[in-house]
Amino acid sequence: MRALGTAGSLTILMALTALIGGCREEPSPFSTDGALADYEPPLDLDTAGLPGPVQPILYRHDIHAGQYEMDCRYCHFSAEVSFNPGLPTVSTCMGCHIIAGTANPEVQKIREYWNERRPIEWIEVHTMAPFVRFPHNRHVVSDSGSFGELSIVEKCEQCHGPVREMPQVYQYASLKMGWCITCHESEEVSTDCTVCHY
Amino acid sequence: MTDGSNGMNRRRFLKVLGVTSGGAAAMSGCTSDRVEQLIPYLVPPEGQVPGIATWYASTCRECPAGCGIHVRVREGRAVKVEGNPGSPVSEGRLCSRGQAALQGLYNPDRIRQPMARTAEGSFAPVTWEDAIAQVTDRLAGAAGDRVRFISGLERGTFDRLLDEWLSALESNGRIAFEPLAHEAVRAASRMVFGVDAIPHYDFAAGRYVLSFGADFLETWGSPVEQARSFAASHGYRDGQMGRYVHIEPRMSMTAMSADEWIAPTPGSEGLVVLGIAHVIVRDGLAPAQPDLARVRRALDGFAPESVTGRTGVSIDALERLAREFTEQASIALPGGVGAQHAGAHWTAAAAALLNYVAGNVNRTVRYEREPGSVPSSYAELGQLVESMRNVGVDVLFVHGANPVHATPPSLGFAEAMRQVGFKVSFARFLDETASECDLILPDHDPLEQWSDYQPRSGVHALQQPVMQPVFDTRQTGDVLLDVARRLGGQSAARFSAGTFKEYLEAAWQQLQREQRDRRPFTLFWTEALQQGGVWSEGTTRSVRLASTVEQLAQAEPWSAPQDDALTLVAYPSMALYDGRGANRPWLQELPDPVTKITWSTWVELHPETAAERGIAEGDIVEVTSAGAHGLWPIC
Repeated sequence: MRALGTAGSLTILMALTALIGGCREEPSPFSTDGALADYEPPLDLDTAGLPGPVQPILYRHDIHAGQYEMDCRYCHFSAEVSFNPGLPTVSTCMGCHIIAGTANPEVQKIREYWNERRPIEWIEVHTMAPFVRFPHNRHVVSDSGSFGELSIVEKCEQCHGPVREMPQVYQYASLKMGWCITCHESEEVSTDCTVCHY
Repeated sequence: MTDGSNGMNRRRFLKVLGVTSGGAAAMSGCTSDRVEQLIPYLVPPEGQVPGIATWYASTCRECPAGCGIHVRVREGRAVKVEGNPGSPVSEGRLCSRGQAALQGLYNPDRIRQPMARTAEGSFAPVTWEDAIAQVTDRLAGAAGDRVRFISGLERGTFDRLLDEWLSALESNGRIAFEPLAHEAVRAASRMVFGVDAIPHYDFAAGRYVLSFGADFLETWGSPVEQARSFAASHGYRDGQMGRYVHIEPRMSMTAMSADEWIAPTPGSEGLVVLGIAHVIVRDGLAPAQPDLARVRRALDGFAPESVTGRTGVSIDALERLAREFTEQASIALPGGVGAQHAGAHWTAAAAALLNYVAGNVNRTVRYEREPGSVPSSYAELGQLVESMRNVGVDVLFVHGANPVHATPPSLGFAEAMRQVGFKVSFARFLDETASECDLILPDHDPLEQWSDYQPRSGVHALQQPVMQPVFDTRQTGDVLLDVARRLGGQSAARFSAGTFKEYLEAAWQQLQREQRDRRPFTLFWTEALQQGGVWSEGTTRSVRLASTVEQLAQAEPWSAPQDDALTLVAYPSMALYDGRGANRPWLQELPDPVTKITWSTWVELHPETAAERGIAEGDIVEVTSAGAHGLWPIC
């Protein structure tokens, strides 16, 4: 339990450092100029009409990534270095939500999970067939074709769609092979079978 | 790794962690009506990136060879074992038994928590607290000399802990039991050279190898190291190739790899050796060694003319082998099937003498200062059985050994064991010995624990936990230290270390001083952990012929039964070893290199013998010996 506490407060420290505008090179959870984005997330939400699976917690990508311009990699921390984009640990949520937004009923749910030491069972939105490999790192750091001019977040959005405007995440691209190949061809990267099937 | 215990299904946990590869994504791929879950960690494990493997250096403990290994760990789970390129034993290679170590780690038959025998005679789970309290109570009420301990072959700090722990209890009764510890070779060293050691055979230097039953590419000695150096010495070099002659009644994979296979009458290997040695001395084929008069007396009665009839090897062959053996750097190997019958000591002593007369001793065959305690002999085990039978033992501990399975029924180990008041096992599996015990305190798997191992002089290999324990097990070293602390008095005063890891580190601080390494200990320790240990040249000692060598002349070779009975040649299997690998499916499905059989145990019979007796392949035969009998299919 002590280890958990330490890690939690460490994350808060990191978040606070970022808030104060420290000169860390790690992706800041908030835009560096301090201004909020142009996008305004809807406050009144008809959750029943939203596309995508209903998650155990209504995590608002549109608020975190859109309004607050948090970098995707703050939560999906290993997207640049691993196949696996990384799923935010509950301690990452608690880094901010131990003090932020505690009146929000959805935030209270996270706090409940944390207090009960229970991980959140998210519903998977983007699933690749098991015989296909999609290394996130290769795509995120790629500068082939038009990718060279895109920011990291824009690269993410090539496949994941306008996540910055999604109150609830849904599957944007078909993830079918034709869709993969179309992009690989237009960006002039290899379409060899073993690039994805190995 | 950290929070696998949240009442969550581990399988699902792992599956969803690998986001890209995980998920049972429907073949159709892309509908949104499936419900696959992604479950995050509560707290990120330190230094781990999902999807990126971490490698740990450790030591394989599947057989006594002690190969260095690298273990690949993904998301806190060991997924692959490979050889450690830095280890002088394995040099990056690993045998099938080492590869299958993972199936020991995750084996569903592992004992998952401490178990105690109930009044009805079955086992029921108990807490560690209760289990350790039981041991402490029993020890407090038992006289030290009535406490005995059977361990496996340990060569390292755990070995020292056992000795210290037992001496604090004022017990001197440890038996280090390892059925495949080359007892005959050790006895031969005593008889021929007066040293208690197993020599190091330098395969890389020997261009001519003469093996008397030692399956050195399969189970005998350190197979990975031997296979590598044998390949190097046997290959084409300086305009010629090495030569390898195998003398064994059975066609093994090692025999198949030989340039020449000679099948003598079973049990007569020793006579063949002495016949060859006799020719070398008679014809002066090798430079004369000191004490030749003693050698002559020992070899007098073994002229080729007198041994050829009993061995089935021709005089010409014996004389040719003697010439070839002395023409280049050579090695004679005793062991394996050649050293597993009543004449085993004698055969091994003959091979040691052959190495001596050919001038190999201190060159290709070196005697090193052996680390750790000497494995107990079968006779010592017999004394323990006798003592147990006479109700001379109150508390018996068994760790890393399965004597009920590995000793012949004629020894009566299981019956004798039932006379012991309180029997404690540290087994990881409910084997034959553990089933006889009153309390089972399951040890960690070797991949879950801190330890070290010295395969040979100068090689100090470290073992480190590569992942959190799979089950509610505890490292035996920690349990022993805990018991000592609770016993108080002399036992508690003896140990300053609270855990076995601390005890291990103290031992390595001592090692660092011995190596005259003046860096801070943390540096030394971290570097050793990264490399898998520290290596240096072993200390060899030069040996001289002992007077007891003349006993060779008097000893009579064991001879095959004369009547209609056949000789049963039992050998450890390359995959299953002496049965220790039997619960690993990978090893079961590994085809035997000679018969190509998987998932089975069989009896081999020469086709001519089979035809004479009207036995066909696939028949079930009953094999009966003095100590045992069983039914097996013929291959």
